[in-house]
Amino acid sequence: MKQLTVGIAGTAKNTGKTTTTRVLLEYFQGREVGVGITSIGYDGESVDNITGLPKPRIFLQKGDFAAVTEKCLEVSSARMKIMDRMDIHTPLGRVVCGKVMKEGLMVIAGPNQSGHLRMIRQWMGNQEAGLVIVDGALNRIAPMVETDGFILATGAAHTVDIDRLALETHSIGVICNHPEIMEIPYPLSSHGKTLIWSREGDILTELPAFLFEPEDLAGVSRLLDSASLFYCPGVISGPCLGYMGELPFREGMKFVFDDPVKLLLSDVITAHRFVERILAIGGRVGYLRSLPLLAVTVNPFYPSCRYGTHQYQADYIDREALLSRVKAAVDVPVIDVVSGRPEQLDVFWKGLWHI
Amino acid sequence: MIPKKVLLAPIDPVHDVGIKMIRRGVEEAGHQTVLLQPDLTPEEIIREILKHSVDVVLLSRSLGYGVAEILARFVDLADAVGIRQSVRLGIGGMAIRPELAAELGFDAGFGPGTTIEEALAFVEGREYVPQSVRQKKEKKDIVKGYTYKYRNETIAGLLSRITDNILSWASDKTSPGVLRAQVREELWDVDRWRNYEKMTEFLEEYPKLCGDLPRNFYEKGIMHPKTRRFVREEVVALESYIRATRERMEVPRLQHTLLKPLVFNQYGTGCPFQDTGHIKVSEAWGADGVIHFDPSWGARTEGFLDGFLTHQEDGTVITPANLNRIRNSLEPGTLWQVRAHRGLNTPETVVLAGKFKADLTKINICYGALGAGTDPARLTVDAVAAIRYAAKYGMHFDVVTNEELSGVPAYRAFAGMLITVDLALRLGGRPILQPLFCFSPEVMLEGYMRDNYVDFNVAKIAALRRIIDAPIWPGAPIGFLTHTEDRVQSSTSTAYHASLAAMLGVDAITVASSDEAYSGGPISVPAKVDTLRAVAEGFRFFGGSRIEPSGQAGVWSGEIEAGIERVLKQVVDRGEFVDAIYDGILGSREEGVYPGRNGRDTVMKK
Amino acid sequence: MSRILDRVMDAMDVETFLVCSSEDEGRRLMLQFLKDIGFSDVDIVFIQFQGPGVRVRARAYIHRPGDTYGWLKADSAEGEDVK
Repeated sequence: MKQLTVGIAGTAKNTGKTTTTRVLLEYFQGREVGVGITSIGYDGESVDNITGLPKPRIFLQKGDFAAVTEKCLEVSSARMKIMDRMDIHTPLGRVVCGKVMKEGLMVIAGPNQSGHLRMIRQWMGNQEAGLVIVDGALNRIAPMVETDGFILATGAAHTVDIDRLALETHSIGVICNHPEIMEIPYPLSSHGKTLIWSREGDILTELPAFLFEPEDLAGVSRLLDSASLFYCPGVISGPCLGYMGELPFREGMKFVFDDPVKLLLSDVITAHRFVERILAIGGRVGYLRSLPLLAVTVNPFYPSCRYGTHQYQADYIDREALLSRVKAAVDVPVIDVVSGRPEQLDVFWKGLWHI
Repeated sequence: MIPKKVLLAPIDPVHDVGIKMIRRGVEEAGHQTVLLQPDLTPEEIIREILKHSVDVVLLSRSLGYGVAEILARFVDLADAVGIRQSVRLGIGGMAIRPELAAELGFDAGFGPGTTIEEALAFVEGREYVPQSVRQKKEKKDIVKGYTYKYRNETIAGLLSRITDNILSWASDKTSPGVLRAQVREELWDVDRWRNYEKMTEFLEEYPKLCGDLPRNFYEKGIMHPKTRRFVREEVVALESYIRATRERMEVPRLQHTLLKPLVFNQYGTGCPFQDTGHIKVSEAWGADGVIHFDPSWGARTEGFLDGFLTHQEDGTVITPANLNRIRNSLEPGTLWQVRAHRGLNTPETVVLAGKFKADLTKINICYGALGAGTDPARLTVDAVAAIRYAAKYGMHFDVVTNEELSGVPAYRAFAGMLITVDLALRLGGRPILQPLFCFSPEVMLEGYMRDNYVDFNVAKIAALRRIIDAPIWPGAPIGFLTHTEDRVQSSTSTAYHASLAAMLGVDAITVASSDEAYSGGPISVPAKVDTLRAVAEGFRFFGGSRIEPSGQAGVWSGEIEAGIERVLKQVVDRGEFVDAIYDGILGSREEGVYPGRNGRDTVMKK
Repeated sequence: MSRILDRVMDAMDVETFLVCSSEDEGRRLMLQFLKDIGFSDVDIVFIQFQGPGVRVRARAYIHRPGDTYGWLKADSAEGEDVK
């Protein structure tokens, strides 16, 4: 069986990333699949770092693999045999990898950037872990490029507007799962530049890798007739996508980005409209590497700030409405991890092994 | 070191001073910096990072709900544009802790109290080795560097003759106090006591030399009505309280840029447990030393009780167990003074303090005999013995002029102080001058402080410095009689007096709590914190600067010096020092003091 | 509440400004207030009346010297000799 690395990304803090992680861990811990875990954030603290409200902690069983910082070990009741000390330094100390020898609660904080997560993924690849879970942090998405796919945890903590939640989730689903894998002309010599090629394969123009304002795309409008391939290796902002989406490119125009994260980092609704628009004019949008959205978990909880004080209290939006609206917005499984039934997970995981 | 290019960006709407200070430190260390305007978006900051090709980015931002997501988005953008691995990212601000920095995806987080050195270590990619988190305080020797040379030869000559007289007068005399001290010194061993060994010889001799109260205690087991023993559970709880508090504690310095004065705080709630609580708070808020206050009846009682005792009124009973417990609760750098100065147990207090390794004690014949009710002859005999023990145990002691509070003019009180000082020097002791910084009856009547509290206090210090090169420790507490029950006024007054003391370069001060003027109940611990914080603020405000006293200070200091000389001449002319006290030369009934009667007729021929 | 009061090292001060017509009235009101909220060992530490009312600081002793201190969590029993 091949190894899968699955990320848990959130749309905000308190959308249920750690709950999702915990539920998945528990599901697999009973199923003879070796699991590995790490986190790009700091999950497992008993109280939330910002709001002071309680958060779940991660329970690890004997045999589970983990990549955590040295400080996590000091405060965890689970005991881990350290197998490797990685050359990864974080504010919480060096990241160490190992196998749990005595079950217990573990605070999980690991590498917090893509390059470092890659190192952990490689380490996990050499262990007998069928599934590696990468717990996310806040709304961070960039390191998820190192996973085989991710589960999106969203909910009222991001926004209490259910329509908006459904729309954004739909957009994320389209951005991640709709476009195809593409290649760009070889030898790739973009050197960190955004490039536009002609139909003949000549480079028509070089632009910055980070497209921030429509002015950065100056000159593109003059190339509409000759351009056939646009490749951006970095990040492109919402306004730039909006601007490009309005330009009358010729049919068959291809837009290639490194991975879906680059579009997710712009405004997701604008990015989604851009994808739809390009497809509508007979163009194509693709990535060098895929990052499929595997499932969505929803959480009606949000911390509301009491008027005039800096104290937060737990509050909830309508659970059923949230679940049904988000289900209708995406074509991947949508799970209520807090009150959902385990059979939902069965369906989800059966599908998962086919990716 | 390779110079780095550092980009600093405040994400708040305004620049906070922290980021500017870090910028200065980073530049002074030879690095190049780019300071961005406040309130840019994550995208704008990323663009600047790309534009300037920086090595390190330091962001500052105060944290609220939703801010974390903005910061996380910033890190994501850095990751996605490919600079995350080559550029080190730090985040600073209130409420930033390592856990949060990790969660946000930064390489380091800098919370409140971050030092420039810490930020610099991050910029240079070095490991930051913090200076010991527990600030170490070393005990300072107050008398170090003083020669005790007289600068006023006339006064030196007069004092020498008085000392000759005291020593020859006392040479064939003793007292129950002196004998008890001797028994305590010779028959009572602190190590055997700690091992619960019964000191039979001591217990046979000691009660015979005691008054009724301690004798009834030793012979019949009768306790003083307002005392009780602690139970073992309480003691265990105290020990764990001290241990836990110590582990969490830091001992800050109050003096800001100055080296002195050391700041002393009194304790003496009656209960050694409560005292311990108060002492730990005093230490944690920066006091350099603490002073043991015993109950007033202790000065009138011949002999000490024994056991670990609590007492329901002001003043903590001196017993071996009480001193031992309090001693053990102190931080290693805290100076400890046990007052002996005024009563019937003066020499024995010094012996006990010495055996429990106190750093300082307090002895003054004239104040004890005039302001504290002890018979002059008795206290003179006892003080000679006490000073000898203090010298033997290496305990320096202050000589306080509290009789000023009863109405004795400063010059007269100072004459008395200098007599004890000279006697001490002759006996090998190291005395510390303790004039009061106070709004005394003399000052009120003469109008010395009609305009300000500065001039007359300056005059006192200047006069003493013209007489002798000796350490000065204004007391006790400074600002005596200026305090009201208002904690703001009280703390402020103490802070101003402390600042004046600092400007005068004196060696130590004793400060009151802001409860000083409140007589309705015991001093509360928040009141101690009030004053220590105020003193720290005073030191911070003035630093090494000076205020200018008016010309009046010089005039008054001359008058004080002349007055001291005049009084000492009268003492010499009177013949016997003890008679001079009885006659009011060192403080008279008209001024408001009376020769004490406790221990009258107890002086014996050896 | 009582368990938190155990943590008070010695005394608790309540300070405020009461609108009243005399120092006596302010004193009476403040003491009454402390009693109303359940304190018995109470006193006025500082009070100053001017036209608009009193600036007042009242105090409730939670642990007087010699008491058994809640912050030490000790039980009371008869004494014995400890050093």
